[in-house]
Amino acid sequence: MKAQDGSLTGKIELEPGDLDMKPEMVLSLLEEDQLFAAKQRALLGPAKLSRGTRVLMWCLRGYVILMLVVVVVAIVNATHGGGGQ
Amino acid sequence: MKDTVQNSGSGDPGGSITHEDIDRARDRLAVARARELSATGRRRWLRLLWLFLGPGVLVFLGENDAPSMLSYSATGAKFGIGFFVPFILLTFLMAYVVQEMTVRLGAVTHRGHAEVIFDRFGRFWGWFAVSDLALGNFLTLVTEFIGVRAGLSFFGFPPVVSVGGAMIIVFVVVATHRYWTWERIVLGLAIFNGLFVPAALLAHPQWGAIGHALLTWTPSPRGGLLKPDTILILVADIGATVTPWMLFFQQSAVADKGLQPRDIRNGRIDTLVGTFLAAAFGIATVVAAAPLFAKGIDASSYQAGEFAQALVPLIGHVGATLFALGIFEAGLVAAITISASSAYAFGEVTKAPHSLNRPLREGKGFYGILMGSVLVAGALVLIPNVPLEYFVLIVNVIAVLALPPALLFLVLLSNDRAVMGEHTNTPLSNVAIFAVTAILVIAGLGFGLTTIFPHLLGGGS
Repeated sequence: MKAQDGSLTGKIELEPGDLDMKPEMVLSLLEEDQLFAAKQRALLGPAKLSRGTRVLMWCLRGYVILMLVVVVVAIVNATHGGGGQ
Repeated sequence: MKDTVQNSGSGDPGGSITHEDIDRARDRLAVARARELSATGRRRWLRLLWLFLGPGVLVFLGENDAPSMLSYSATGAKFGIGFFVPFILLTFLMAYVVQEMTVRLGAVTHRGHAEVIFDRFGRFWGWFAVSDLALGNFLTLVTEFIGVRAGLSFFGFPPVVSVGGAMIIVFVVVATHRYWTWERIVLGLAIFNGLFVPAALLAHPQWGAIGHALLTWTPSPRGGLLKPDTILILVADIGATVTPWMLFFQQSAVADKGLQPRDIRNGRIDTLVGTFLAAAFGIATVVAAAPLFAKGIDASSYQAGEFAQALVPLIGHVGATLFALGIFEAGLVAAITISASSAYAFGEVTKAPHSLNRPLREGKGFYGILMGSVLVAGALVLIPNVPLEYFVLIVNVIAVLALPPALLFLVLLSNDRAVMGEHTNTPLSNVAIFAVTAILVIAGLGFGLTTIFPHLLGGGS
């Protein structure tokens, strides 16, 4: 039976080339959390971020926004034959 | 023809196994068989090298993309052999430091970078990270098709043929719906990045000058490092080597390939091989374009096709042909890897199937993003009178500016003992990554200052 996500619940749908891959072999070769079904679950849940880390994240976010403005200025300068390029 | 069997295996956490799992298990079986070969044999070592080469080589040769190779060409044409040769080598060492962490993260978590960021930092920060990635990836994808168009224009191909042909190649490669096959085909294409090496040899480089530059970092750029156009080249060369999409792509590819913690050493070797090849090919591009500097030709506004044409009298028609083909290859391979990076990230944040081992019918969202981004970016390049040159001019710079927040997530995750267990960063890794981040922020601020205040640092255009 096929789930909406494309996984096969209860049965393995085999292509001709899959006949050498028995379920037991798949499970023995992969780590448990390597299976698609296991990856559908959250990894560990949210990390606890310190105040300093959160401040740093906001600072770097501000840096990116500021720099995007600079990039727009650089493009305008280049378009009008101004400085920089 | 299909057949079904009851899944009676024990230990299957969800009671379901997908084609993705079966194909990944097949790859693991090949690794297990290779490890059973004679423990000391060269054959075993070579077999394992062959099996594990992939994400590291692809990410580095993928990043030697069209705007990067044009950035290196502009460097060679503007500054010749000197400061920038060791500087480019340094940027690749920085990239290795960063990418090695993604190998560990992918092998330990079996998840892509976007997925782990969402899980550990929540949707708010996750969407910031993915938005930066999506914007950067799309702009870069456009420049890849500009490179494809420009490279093949040297041979007289009309844009619709060159861009359309490249799009068809991307679609055919992903239609294999097998990660291993996709990886081998793209590796086969990526090795043509080495075309810049014979092009450089045809420029009859002065080996003494290259050795002198590598050892002494001289001659320095005329006018010093603080001139606005020199800073632009500096930032662009960093952006040609260390970019956000590389973090996301390599970790996703490592997870899709099925690496496990015991494979981290093999993943490092793969990354090191990629670093070495990409650095060699990048420096070769500087060397190939250096005759333009020696002849005093102003190539500051050249596009790919113009570089190749300008090189004909200096390195011959064969050398210029190799250069043009190299630009085409750089654009094509990067279009494949960057579109895959976008598709992986989309699947990771929506929890939809996101593996190149999935048949098209099972990964509609994943393949839809991959092919859709390629179609839109390619189509944009075919629209007449769109000022595309600004994409190329600025895309590497945007990559550098967006990288510090991405590196912060990487540092936090790779030091997260709950996620990484015994594979957290060493103190040396942390010193290296903080140095890389500091260099990027300083380079970005330098670019910002010289853009807003072009005469502040004694420069001007």
